[in-house]
Amino acid sequence: MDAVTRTPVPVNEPVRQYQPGSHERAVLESKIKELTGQRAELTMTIGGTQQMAAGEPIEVVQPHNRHHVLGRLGNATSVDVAAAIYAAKQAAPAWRALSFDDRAAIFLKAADLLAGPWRATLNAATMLGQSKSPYQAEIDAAAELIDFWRYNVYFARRLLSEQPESAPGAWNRMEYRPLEGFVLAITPFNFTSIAGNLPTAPALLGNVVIWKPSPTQQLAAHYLMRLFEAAGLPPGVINLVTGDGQAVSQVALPHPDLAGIHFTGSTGTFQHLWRAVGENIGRYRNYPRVVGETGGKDFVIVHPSAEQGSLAAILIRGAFEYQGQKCSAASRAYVPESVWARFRDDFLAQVESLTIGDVTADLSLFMGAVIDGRAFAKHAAAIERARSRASINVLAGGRYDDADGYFVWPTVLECSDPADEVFTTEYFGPILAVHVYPDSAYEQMVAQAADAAPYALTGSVVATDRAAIAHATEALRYSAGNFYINDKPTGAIVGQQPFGGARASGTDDKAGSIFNLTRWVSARAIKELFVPPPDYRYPHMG
Amino acid sequence: MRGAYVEAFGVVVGRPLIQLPQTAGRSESEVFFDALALNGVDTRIDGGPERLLDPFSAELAAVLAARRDDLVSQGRLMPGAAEALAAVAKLEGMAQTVLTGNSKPNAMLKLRAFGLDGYVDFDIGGYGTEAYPRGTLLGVARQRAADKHGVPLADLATVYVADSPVDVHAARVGGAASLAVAGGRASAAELREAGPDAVLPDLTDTAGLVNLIARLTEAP
Repeated sequence: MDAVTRTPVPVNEPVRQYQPGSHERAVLESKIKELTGQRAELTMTIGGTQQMAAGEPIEVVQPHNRHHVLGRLGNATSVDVAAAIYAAKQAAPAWRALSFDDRAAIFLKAADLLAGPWRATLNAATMLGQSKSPYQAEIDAAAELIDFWRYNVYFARRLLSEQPESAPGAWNRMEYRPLEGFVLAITPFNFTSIAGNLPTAPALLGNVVIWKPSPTQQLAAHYLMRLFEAAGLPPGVINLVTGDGQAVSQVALPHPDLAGIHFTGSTGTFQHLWRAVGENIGRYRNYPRVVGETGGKDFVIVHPSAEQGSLAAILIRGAFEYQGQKCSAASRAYVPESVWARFRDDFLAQVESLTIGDVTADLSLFMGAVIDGRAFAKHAAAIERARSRASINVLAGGRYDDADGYFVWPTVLECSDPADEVFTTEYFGPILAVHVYPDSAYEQMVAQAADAAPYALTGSVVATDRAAIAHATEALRYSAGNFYINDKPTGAIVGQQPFGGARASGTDDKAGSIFNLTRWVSARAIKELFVPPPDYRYPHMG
Repeated sequence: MRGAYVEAFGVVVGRPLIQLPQTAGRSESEVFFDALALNGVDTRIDGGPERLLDPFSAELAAVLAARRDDLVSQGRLMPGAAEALAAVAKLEGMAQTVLTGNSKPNAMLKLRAFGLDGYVDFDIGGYGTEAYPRGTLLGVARQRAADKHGVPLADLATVYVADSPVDVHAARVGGAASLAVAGGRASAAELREAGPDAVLPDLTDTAGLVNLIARLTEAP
């Protein structure tokens, strides 16, 4: 089709509220019931064919009801991963030959399907498999993923429109080639939207993908794959392999056609991937693009001038929504003595009153369970360590119980030592460490907090004093890739706050923005000279 | 082998196979699904046609085993094939296997009928009962060889001895060099058009074939 088309102008998908008695709540409840009653066979999808991975079986359970099995997946073997790689290679020429509009239409359709008929399925699967409340599922599996797809199409078109100048007598053009090879997308448990975005952003730009989701997100990932198919994604463009990733490491990382890694997950895993790329650097046809978003030790710095009205909401939502399992979750707060004295009791009472339980049985709960036994054990150990330290008071929570589900109660630790591990180590759970500082020491506090942790993902300052805001903004320039003023450090919205951080937190390639998309193309500059010179000699040669 | 298909189909599907689809160069599963459609079998039965595939493959293997003598009398061994397999097997660090539309048991039966099975490692092959297209299947077989011999896939040099243009393209996808041999389903000219790494008119020049394979598997 010869046309310079315009892609639809994206707007953020409205977030549904799921009030008691609403139609959307009833639809969601019936979908939860349907998926709860099934025991899904969580297949791989390779070259469009679904089959169980050949390795040992892994059960997917409800984190809040850990004896209830939702489905079963197999651990992908080296042969399964090889099949995925070659199926991708087989699909690449036809996918790459499709026009951008054709590829974009598939993802725009996926967004509309998710906004409509698939919404309840993805939300219910995310609630059941990842223990999210209805609202937490809605802002993730529905709203954010729809936004990723619509905005990525819009940003990709802008990227393709970026063209060089042409001098008289010549025409210069730039084309944005898909990478030569396959992109490996490794996605985390905590956001279905990231699971959906990491394989599709490279695919939109014409790449073929091997997608390895976290086993604990596999239920929602399984339905995402079905949604891609329903939207018309051709077989082999995104190949889903299941399991723990061992075989992916063994086969895909040293493969000569590895063209890129799109990763969200732990810092340790990201460093393993980068190290493997380094070790194999001589084998590749191209230097692989390595894009990763990992952890955070995200801060809230309160100034004595802060308005107290919203402070509890900032800290509670920032630290405890989705059990603190967001990369952006607030896990350290610095509060001046004067504010703490007035604010503490009310804040702690609110924390103690937060409701926690089976989020799929009672849709009014604030929190569910942490993702699995490993996370539970890590949080329990952090709480026990805190109890054993003289410098730390456990002010709220501190309870954990895994009899039925992996429940860790929202916990507030007050610690007098700002260098303690509670201010530097990412627990990835509902644990907030508070350091109370003298009102006169704001600038020193900012300076200490700026570099206390190795991460630099998100952070916020709460103040009304403009000089204090200006100071923090400058002093914390490299301490967060997403910096908030008088807001919680979580809840970035696609198109509004491009997300990502540097230092140990990742490559800061800003998911859901044009900056991320540039990583999945390799530009080719084309110069066409219309009237070539008749002679090699220059005028100065006489 | 039409007779074997007819017999196995009748046993598993419970109705006669009247129209046999094209079988050459196609996988057992493709042929079976086509046969179901061509013969008007209602595939909306519980679990769909996939449910019948495994029983069909097993039955076909049993029928072929019972008709072993037919394999020898109706099958055709390309001149030089046995000598070629024997000579290539002597190359240092070489493993040989098959990439075929047949199921593994049927591939074994057919090669055994001609006494060629001793040169072939069936563990590392790719078979028609696996749901992948040919190029993907070649990658799968290469990974099996890499696993079995403890060699990284990237260091595994592979030659795909191909007798159709489709196979030459599959070699490119699956990461192998292609040595096209005419005398099967395609002429040398048709094969050359597909752009293989080398072409031979047949398998009779054993020394030439061994040299070509040795050259195509040399470390770069």
